[in-house]
Amino acid sequence: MSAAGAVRVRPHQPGADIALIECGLGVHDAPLSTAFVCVGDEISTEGEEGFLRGHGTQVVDGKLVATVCGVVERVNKLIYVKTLNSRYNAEQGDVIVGRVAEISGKAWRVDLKSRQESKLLLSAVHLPGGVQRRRNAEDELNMRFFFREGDLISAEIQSVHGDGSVALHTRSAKYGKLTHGQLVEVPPNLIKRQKQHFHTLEALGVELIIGCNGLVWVAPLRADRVAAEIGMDAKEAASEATATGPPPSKAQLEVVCRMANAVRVLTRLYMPVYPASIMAVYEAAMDDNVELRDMLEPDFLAVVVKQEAQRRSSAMQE
Amino acid sequence: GGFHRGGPPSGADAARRQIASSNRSSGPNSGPGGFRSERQQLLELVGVLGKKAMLPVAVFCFSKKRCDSCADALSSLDLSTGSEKAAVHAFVDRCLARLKEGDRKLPQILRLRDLMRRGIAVHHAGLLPIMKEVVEMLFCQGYIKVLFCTETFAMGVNAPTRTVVFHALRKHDGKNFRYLLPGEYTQMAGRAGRRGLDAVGHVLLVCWGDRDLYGESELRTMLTGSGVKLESQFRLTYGMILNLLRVEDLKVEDMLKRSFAEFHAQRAAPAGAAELAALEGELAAAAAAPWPATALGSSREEVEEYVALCEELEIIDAQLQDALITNKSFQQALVPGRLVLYGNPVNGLTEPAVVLGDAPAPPSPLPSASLTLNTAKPASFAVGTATTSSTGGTTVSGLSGTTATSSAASSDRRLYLLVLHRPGSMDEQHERQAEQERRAREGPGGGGRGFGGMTSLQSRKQQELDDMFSGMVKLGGAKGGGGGGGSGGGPPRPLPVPHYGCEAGIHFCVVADWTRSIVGVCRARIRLDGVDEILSCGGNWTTNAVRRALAAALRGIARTVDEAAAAAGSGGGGELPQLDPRVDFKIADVASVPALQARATLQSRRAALRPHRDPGLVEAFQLVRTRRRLERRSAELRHQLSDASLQQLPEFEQRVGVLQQLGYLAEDRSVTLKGRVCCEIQSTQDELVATEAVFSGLLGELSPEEAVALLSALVFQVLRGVGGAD
Repeated sequence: MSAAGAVRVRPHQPGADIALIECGLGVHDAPLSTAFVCVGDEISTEGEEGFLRGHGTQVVDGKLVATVCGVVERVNKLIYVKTLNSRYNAEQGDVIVGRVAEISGKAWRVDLKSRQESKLLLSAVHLPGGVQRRRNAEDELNMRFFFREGDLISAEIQSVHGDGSVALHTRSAKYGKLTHGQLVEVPPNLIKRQKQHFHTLEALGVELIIGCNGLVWVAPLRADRVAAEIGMDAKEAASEATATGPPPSKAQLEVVCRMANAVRVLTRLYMPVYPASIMAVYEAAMDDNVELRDMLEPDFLAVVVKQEAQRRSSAMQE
Repeated sequence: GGFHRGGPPSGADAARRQIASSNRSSGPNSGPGGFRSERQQLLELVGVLGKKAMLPVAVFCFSKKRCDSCADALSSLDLSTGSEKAAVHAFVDRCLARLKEGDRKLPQILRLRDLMRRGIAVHHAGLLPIMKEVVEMLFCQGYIKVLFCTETFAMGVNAPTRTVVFHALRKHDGKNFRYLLPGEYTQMAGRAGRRGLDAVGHVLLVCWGDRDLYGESELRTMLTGSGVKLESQFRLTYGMILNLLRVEDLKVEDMLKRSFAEFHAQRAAPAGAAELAALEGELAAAAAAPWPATALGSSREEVEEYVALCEELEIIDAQLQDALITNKSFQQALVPGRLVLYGNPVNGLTEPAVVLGDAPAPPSPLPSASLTLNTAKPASFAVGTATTSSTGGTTVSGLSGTTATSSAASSDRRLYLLVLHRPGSMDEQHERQAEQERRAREGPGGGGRGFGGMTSLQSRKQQELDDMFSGMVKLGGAKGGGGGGGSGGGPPRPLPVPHYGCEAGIHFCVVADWTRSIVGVCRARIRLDGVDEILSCGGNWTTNAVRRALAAALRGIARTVDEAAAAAGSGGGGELPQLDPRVDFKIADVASVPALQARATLQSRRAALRPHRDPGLVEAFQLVRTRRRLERRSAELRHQLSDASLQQLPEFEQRVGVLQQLGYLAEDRSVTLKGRVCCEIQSTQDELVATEAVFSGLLGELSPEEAVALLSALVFQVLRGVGGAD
């Protein structure tokens, strides 16, 4: 590493990024939106008879008052406040990225950075070759063959039990152990729920898993993912790929780092993380010839904010 | 006493005999004496069966209790020999060895062991699984002579028997008593008769008393009715759609694909994909083919337009065929000498022709599979065209998209037509193939004595063989050709058509075809001199008289066509003036008139196009036509293979629209909070109603009891015990 590439240390300035956003969006003097509430703010219920009090609200002296900071959401007569930041709250069908914490009995305990404890039962994993059979004692002994403690896995939430505990499953070739990539942590509120959370950007050679629990996985596209799509078994292919496959090229790794940094930029600016927004940041960096290590510098953040402001104003005009 | 019936009325299995044995005494449940008498009857029944060597027997009772009581009724009976007893004892001991000591002494096991020792057993859902299996195995080995069982025995276990007895024909299906369904009856009665052991299986319907006599109509329905048809029970519901959309792994389209309703379509998919791949190859080849030079130098665009018009016309012609060929005036107009427009199925063009006379119908219609023109017609069309015509002895049905169905042929006439033909590469092939068929038909007996007597069974068989090896067999090749001279006396020999030729510088062909391929009748008639010469030439086209007659007729047609073209002026036109079907044939029904109008406009539009007068059009026309047809077929296939052809897809889209409108799904079809709530509601039909009730605050003001009372309206009875917690 040359002297020029040495790590630059910048003193942390609290609120600097926020100021940046305010400056870019011109919101500092905007009228206070009624949709956005702080703790103790009254939520208008005019014109609504018999509303339903939802999460984050409380009735005080006959008035509906927010108990958390966030955005007021209304569904028919239900009024609730969606907080700006919270722990991940599991919902059935979410794609998540989690870390195996321990092996207990017939299940792996997986850390989702969630409010609830989550378990991946042995019976809910995809066996090599996709065979369907009852899991026996031997499988139980071989559980570490699938996932060890500390492994990063992608999975889907199978169900949320009444007591708040979560059951996962990896009953598809696309779920499973994640290796050779980067994990970026994002506040789960920034993750936009979508139809698809697995993305393969073949042009860039990157695969992206946007876990609903706020963990984003960026990795170079590997042959086994392609193989999984054509029906080959991912785990076998993965073991082959890790054993024999060529290591990803430097260029490919740089793309991966850029994508990861794009996610970090969005996190810094507290903007929603979804494929289009990530790509927008990535492309902005490429257009401006921003170095990989400069992507998190204030100069580039300002560019991104400006771009976002433009996008929003044009969206509003439409 | 009993009454016997021959075979079952359905004639399904003559080896099965049904005897309704009615023992006339009081009914089974009539007071305390009932049981005794039923017992006597049972003993008598088993005794009779034993005497007639009709054991083993499976007696179907429709309740567990009845099975047990029947078995108990035979407590005095012993049907096993000593060695059998020993075998049963040893087998049961071995089977029970894996049970705990105490469990082997269970009352049910003890009772059943006693029964089985005597060759009797029961089999129903109330038995311990191990005992059920023991009974099944002993029954299959023949140690059990009388088995009282419920319906389950007919379904799961493959254990045939010599005789099946129906203890009753009515059963309780959870709601009420009803007669057995035909399918259920067949399933149970089908147990009678063991392969390799019994020549005949017996089915007995027992009538315990006068009260139990069954009505003829009920019996008839049950014995002869057809089984229940398998139908897809897959129904889309809002809850299912939401549940599928919220998980990433499953696509609703896949779900629809796997439903039984799509079973046949999905099974055909690989073949369709293969055909599509083949079509793509042919299309590529067709696109690569060079554009043939035509006499007038018609461009590709012009020909495209022309072909499009021709195809439109073909469709209309097909619609009109039935109305026309049944029309008397139309048929009367088709006299020798009449000029007509002939829709030539070989090259797809419409050509002027003159009627020469009536032709005999082909003696035995060949299946059209034998008529494939191998190179000109893509092989893949064989599927599509196999149904179009089974009548055309000489038509090449494969090339005509609109040849009428064979049903119309009976009322149709066949005519000899002299066609002013535009020569093409296909003519020779067509002629050769027709020749081959003709020879094949004339058969190995050969000699060309005419067709009449040649449709013996043998020659037909031979012909089928020929069809199989179409084009490869040269039967009677030496004889069939020109032996026409022999048929001097009787009716004139059919002309060997089609015949292609050139006379007086004009290309022509003589064909025999049904009147339905005539797409227009012209006003003009020409004088036909020596038409008899032509009709009786019997294949000798080269004699002077015939040639003269042909030349005269052809010149007549050509002159008329030229006159028409001249009359229409230099600007175009040139279609022969035709009889107006509405006026001249008095066709006035609602469906035909607009079609006739459309046809007239299309014909005049087509006549105005340059390719219409192009004598060298054929090759270019063929090229475009083949390509268009390939494209159509491949588009069709692609649709079939895509998700768009799923039967329930439109409904799915509509339901998604509803869900989006009500806010259960976002624009990108991700499930919203409301949708998630809906997923949690376990109702078969009314999940949306319940969700709306929740979100509209309907339940908020109610006391718990009131809320329960209200929501109970949404709960389906069957799920009462299951979904209560939710």
